[in-house]
Amino acid sequence: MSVLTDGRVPVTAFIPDDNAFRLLVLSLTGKNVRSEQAVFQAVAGLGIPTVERVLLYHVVPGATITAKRALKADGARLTTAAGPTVKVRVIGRTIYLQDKDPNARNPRVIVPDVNKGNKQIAHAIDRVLRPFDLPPVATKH
Amino acid sequence: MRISRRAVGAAAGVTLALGVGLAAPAASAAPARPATTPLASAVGSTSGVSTSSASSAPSSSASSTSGRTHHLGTRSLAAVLLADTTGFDTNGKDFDVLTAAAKAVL
Repeated sequence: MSVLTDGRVPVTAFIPDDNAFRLLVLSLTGKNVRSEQAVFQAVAGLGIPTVERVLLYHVVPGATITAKRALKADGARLTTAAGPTVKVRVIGRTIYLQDKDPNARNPRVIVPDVNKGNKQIAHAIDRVLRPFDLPPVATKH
Repeated sequence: MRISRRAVGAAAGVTLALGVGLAAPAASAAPARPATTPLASAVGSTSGVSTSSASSAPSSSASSTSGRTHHLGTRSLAAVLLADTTGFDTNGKDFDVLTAAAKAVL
């Protein structure tokens, strides 16, 4: 994660918003937690190694990928800092990301090109990317 | 946080401080050039991306595009995320949980 502190290193990150983490907690626990503090505590409860692995799965090192380029890259597989790839799916003008959990809904980009003009760029997404197939505790969201 | 996603989206072409408001562009940030090549060629010489068409991308295209990164600014994503200092709130459209999780990992 420390690579995100060095703006000289090209990086593309997909950043889930707070709603995305709330949906993750709902999916994992069946509880619709409203407080962001409680959402964070639930996420941290997964264990720091797991949290780190999940966060690293949102980071694509070595490339500054703008939304414009991503829109032309349907089917591309991005190698993440965690190791596994994430697949770009473009439907119309919407960018989806296909992760390693086939049962969960794929995240989509909701705010593109955060920090545009810099080597490190991010795209906000509405779901947390899952680097592995998480067992559903509740109904999938 | 006080900024709507629509406002964020409209201003995303510049630079933003997540969840707080728009920040002035970093002094070192140069405007991104418009992408003219597919992703595969855009990052062909860098790590992180593979596509089925990557091998067919002209190497000259890949090298010229990767050179563009030299014109990009160096404002880090950590600086963007940490610009929001208000912490947990009731706005689900910002990145407080992500920021806290990243801090916990670091």
